[in-house]
Amino acid sequence: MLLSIDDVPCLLIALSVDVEAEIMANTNPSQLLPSELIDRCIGSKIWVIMKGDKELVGTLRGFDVYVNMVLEDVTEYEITAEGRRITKLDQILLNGNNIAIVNTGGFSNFSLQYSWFLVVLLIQNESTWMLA
Amino acid sequence: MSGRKETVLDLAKFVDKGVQVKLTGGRQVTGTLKGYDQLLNLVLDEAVEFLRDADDPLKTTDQTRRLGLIVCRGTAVMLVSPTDGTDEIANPFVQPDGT
Repeated sequence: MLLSIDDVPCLLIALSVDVEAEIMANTNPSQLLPSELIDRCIGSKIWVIMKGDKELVGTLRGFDVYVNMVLEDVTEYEITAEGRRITKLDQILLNGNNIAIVNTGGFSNFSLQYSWFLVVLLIQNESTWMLA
Repeated sequence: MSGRKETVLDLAKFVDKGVQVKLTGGRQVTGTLKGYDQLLNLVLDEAVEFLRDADDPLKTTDQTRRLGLIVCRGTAVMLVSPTDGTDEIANPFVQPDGT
């Protein structure tokens, strides 16, 4: 088959479409990648649960492929049979080796209490609207 | 050439379904699988952790706590199992006392 110079851009477009289709097939866009989720949390408060009995709450500044983390304004909770031991830390580099769970959405009891607070607020607002 | 790398466990079929995850260190979590990667990092939504007995950390209690949207680190994941079609039964190998 003879190709003229005019056909070249068409070929290139066809190629790039092929590559794109392959990428789409390999990565399911409907799915949420773990690294992507952690990346979205940079700058906000996160809750890290270690393999042992330690938990940390702090602002995520950055992380790497091992999920070592740089955290700021950290509160460290050590859960023991006697209760919780709390340590406050300014800025830390947390080794990713002992991390079990990274919590991004809400803080169990806190968020529950907060949602009730919002409901009460909404009801109050509604009643003031009714009066007005 | 081994061709395309295949995973032992195809997590795609568990996406948007309930899974139970056991982690090294003894923690146990259930939630809806929202995503994963090749290293077995998992994204779980509406995750619930089963709290353990303070005296016997090997036992889980009925007590739970809600965690919300979480990432389980692949390095800590020991077991992944779907909650649908899975039931916990009494240990059939335990010998009754006195035998």
